[in-house]
Amino acid sequence: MRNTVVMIVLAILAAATWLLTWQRQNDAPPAEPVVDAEVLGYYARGARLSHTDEQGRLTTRIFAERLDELPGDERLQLTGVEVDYRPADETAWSLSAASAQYARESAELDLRGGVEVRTAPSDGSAPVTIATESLLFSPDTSSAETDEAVEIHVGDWQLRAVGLRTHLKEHTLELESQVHGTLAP
Amino acid sequence: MLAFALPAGAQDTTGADELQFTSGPLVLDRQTNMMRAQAPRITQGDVHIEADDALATGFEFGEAGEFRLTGNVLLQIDTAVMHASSAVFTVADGRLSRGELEGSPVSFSDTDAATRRTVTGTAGKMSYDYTARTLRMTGQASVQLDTREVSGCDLIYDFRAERVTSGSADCEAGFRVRVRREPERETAAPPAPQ
Repeated sequence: MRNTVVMIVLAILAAATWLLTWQRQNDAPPAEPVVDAEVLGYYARGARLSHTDEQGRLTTRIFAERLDELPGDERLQLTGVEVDYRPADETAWSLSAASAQYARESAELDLRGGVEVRTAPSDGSAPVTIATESLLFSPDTSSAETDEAVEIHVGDWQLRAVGLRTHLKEHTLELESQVHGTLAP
Repeated sequence: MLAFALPAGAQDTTGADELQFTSGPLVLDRQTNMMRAQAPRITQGDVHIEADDALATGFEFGEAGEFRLTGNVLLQIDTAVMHASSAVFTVADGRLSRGELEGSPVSFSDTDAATRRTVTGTAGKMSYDYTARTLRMTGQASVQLDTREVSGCDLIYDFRAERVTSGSADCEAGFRVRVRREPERETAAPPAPQ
């Protein structure tokens, strides 16, 4: 008889425990999904990149004080950028900017902040300096373009305009609108 | 053809007298050292030049260079306005030094601000003296001033004195003045050249 009573008490306690546990489960908020940790990229200081033409000749050297990988992006973020563009048998150009984004697939450089483009030709043609706040440069097509205001120094001329299209190999520079030149010998 | 000369001493050397250039789209060719521009506007001092297109030869304009203008060339010097179909302006030492305008014919007009009198003229060739404010016209030259029409092969018009005189060249046509007293009556009067 005593054992029977003990068994009944234990059964009641077990039932009460189960009931309490079931109610707490119902009251509890849904469990948060497990979030994956932030995707980590890499960075480098004093980074150097290079680009070759279709014949495998080195045409473009890029130096960046800092390079940051943009996770999930096909671009690299560069800071303190200097570009040495030396197409084969053509005049060399140097480009610099505060920052740039480098497209890994196309090798295009989207230069931003204090962009300056210079050439010092040795073939007798006039040196050219271009200053603007943004410039898209493509080593593959040798093109550089911007829709921003530009300032150009060539010979005795100081030219200001809005919009620039140029093919560095073809020696032409197209200023799109609002051209204002001053002769400053 | 019209030619004018701008002596360096006739223009001041302040920053406001810099050669200024504005235009629409411009192509700069480093290989040929030329600039080609649409709708150019060139100003220096009281000289103002417009055209449909311009070709600037050379980038070292501090030494010498040329603007070759085509299409609806307009040259304005103070109150005098000249029209041509093409022109070449030479720049030396940073200044517009000479201009040659061509057309069929080249024409000019000038209105005196005080008297409101207007003088007009055409010629095969003209030469404008910026300092003396005189315009020398050779070839088939003609000047209309009030009721008078002066024609000849070598005329000099003085913008300040509003007077036409004969130049030094000899020619068969001589120096003729026609005075229109009424629309249907004209009197020929060939006075002696001054």
